[in-house]
Amino acid sequence: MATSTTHHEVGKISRRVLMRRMGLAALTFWLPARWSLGLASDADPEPSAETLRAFVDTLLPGSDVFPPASALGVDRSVLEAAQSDPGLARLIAAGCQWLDRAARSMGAASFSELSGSGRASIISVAEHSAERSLPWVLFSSVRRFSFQKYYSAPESWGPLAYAGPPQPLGFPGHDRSPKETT
Amino acid sequence: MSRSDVVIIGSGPGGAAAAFSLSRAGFNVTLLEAGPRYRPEQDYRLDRADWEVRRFPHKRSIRRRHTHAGLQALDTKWDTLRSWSRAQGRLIKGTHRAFSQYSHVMGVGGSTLHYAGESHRMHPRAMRLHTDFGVGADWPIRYEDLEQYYSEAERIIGVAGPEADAVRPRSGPFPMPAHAMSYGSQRLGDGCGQLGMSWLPNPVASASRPYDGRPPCNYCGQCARGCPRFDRGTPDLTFIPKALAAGHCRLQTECEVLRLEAGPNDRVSAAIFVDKQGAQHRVSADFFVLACGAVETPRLLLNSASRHAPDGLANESGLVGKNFMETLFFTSSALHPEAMGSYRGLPSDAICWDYNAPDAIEGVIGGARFSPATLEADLSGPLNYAQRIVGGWGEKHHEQMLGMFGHVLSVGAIGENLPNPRSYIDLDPEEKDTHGLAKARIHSHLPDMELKRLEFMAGRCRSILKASGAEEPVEEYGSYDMFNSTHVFGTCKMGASAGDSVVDAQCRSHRWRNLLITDASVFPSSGGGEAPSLTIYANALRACDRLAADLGQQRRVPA
Ligand SMILES: Cc1cc2nc3c(=O)[nH]c(=O)nc-3n(C[C@H](O)[C@H](O)[C@H](O)COP(=O)(O)OP(=O)(O)OC[C@H]3O[C@@H](n4cnc5c(N)ncnc54)[C@H](O)[C@@H]3O)c2cc1C
Ligand code: SF4
Repeated sequence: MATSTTHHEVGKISRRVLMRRMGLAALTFWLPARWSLGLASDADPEPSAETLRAFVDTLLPGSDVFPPASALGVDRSVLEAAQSDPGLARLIAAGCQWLDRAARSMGAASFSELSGSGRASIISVAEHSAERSLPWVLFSSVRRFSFQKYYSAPESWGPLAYAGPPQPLGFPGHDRSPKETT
Repeated sequence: MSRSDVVIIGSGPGGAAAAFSLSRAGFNVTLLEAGPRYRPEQDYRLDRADWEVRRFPHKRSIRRRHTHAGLQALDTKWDTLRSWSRAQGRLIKGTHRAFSQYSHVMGVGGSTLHYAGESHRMHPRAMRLHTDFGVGADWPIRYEDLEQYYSEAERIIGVAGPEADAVRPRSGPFPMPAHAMSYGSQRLGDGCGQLGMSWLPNPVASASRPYDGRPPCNYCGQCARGCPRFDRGTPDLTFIPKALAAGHCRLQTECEVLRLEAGPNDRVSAAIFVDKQGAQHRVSADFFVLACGAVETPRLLLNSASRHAPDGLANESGLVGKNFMETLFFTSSALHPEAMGSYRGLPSDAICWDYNAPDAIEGVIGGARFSPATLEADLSGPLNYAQRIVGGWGEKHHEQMLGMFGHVLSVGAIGENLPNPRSYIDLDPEEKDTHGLAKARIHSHLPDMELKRLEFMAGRCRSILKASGAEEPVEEYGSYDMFNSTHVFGTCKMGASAGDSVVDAQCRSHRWRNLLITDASVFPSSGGGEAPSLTIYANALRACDRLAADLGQQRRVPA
């Protein structure tokens, strides 16, 4: 798994420093219309599967109890969705490039090569970027999509003691504490 | 052209109860419904792992039929009523109240297909607002006129409720015993107890034991996504099959009525409708019953303007579309330190009626009631918690999911909404639907009296949560900064005088005597938060019983 084969340990880096290195302050707005109206160039690259996997696994990492997002196929679902949605495909491709570029500015070969904290710094920059800029749209869209896929997988429910889906069994012990019924 | 004794338009509570009553009385009834039938076991897939991503599976778009006028500017003095969530901050970013939705369903059974099943009788004093308090309007009938029909409707849909109700006298017990309250609702009840408030089982149309061929509810909590279990007493499972079984009723789905034709002699002569294939039909009848809901009913009447009715059908008073009353609501959610499993149980299984009487809230006229609000809050599973409560990402997100999932308790209040001149439905002068008909345009305004009531409602919701031990607020939203209505009323008011109402006490147009309206459009007042469907059923049964009696056609067959 990409996230566990980190070669470059990059310490915590301030958001301001990273933004400066990335030239983000001057980044033009990445209007969603650009990809949905097909205005992007034909030369849009393929998304990097490694980068995307590292991205979703940083958003929803594995732990003692939770599986990482990629173990539930979240990254594959993003790529599958992108196959039938050219706008999404362009967003993911451009977004992965942006993540890799950010990683290179921190001395790593690519996003997936960074340490967990390095990847987190970059994602934090994306999260706090100007609304509708590429990094912000990438973060918001992939996070939303990843949460949907992740929490629609019963493997993510175990640690939460969630005994769903709601049917066909319902919740017969609904009138008792969940401690008594799980 | 076809012909029936009665044509009924719309198969929600108002149309379904009318179809049952009139077909039982021996009339040949044609029931025209614009939407399709829903197949619970196929359409409501609560057994799928991705169930939470899906909301109610609308088969017909409900948004392309209405627009809205601009809503009022927000004022910082009411900032404590703003909608917000822990993960997303303020939900309404603009300077004006936002239009969220008029929430309804087009299909056999109407909007009940995603309802919580709350089945309430009106507070008798809420039906006399004008006489007793000088606001709003009186009902031209009394609670006692409805009582036998309330009981009949409760029997047909199968209501489970508690034993006594001192305020709303009953001629018999509920058909089924009340449901056990969920663990979360019991904790809210503890909080109410500390505040000296009552907290009773809420009467709901979900089976608490096998009933009329239906299994008992299994407390999955997802009524708003459609019940796949057949235990909830919606009209498609109750009134309509019974109407069809009577042998005189024909249900035609995906048939949308475009207009009613007004003939000479003050009689409605035909309904023009378009079927699924787009073919137009004309059906004539002796009587027409309109039950399209309080937004679509006035729209259809106004779109039926003609030489005989230049201002719209049955609009001699000018009141078609006026007196629009919406859902005045507030919902507050907070984290409890203990795991509640609060996504379990019937969504609205308890109720506090203490402030429901019109004069129960100090400083305002019009009451409110309080209930668990798991349906409204939709904190129904892991995904909603992740996105709306926990937010964030990474390890911290997972840690917080472990500490918060199932811990949120929600309390909601629904209050009286008094009519005012700036809340009404008219026809949009510009926007047309696919048939070229003007869309309904919703105008909504909340004067200070409403906001004061809302302020009280919000304060009580917060106190209940706090007293229950749920001390950390995580999300609140309400009518102040968003229009979001599930209960709508008043747009074809019922009253004694032709100058001041659209229909008379028997729900018949004052001028067009063969036209009845039996949905919530006829409600002169909204009640202090009572859920409307049981009153819609009861009132439709009453009006149609009266019609049948007037026509001397009491050819009853057993229900
Ligand atoms: C989420 C939610 C929860 C709710 N919970 C509760 C609850 O717990 N208890 C309660 O009492 N109420 C509840 N309600 C409200 C309740 O569902 C409505 O008050 C009730 O269904 C209104 O009945 P109606 O007959 O007036 O109209 P509707 O139920 O809206 O039915 C109108 C029908 O007319 C049809 N129609 C419209 N125009 C045409 C046309 N031109 N031609 C042919 N057909 C047409 C529509 O397709 C629709 O099927 C809830 C509503 C929502 C949205
Ligand atoms: S809570 Fe009961 S009535 Fe509601 S959907 Fe589940 S089984 Fe049906």
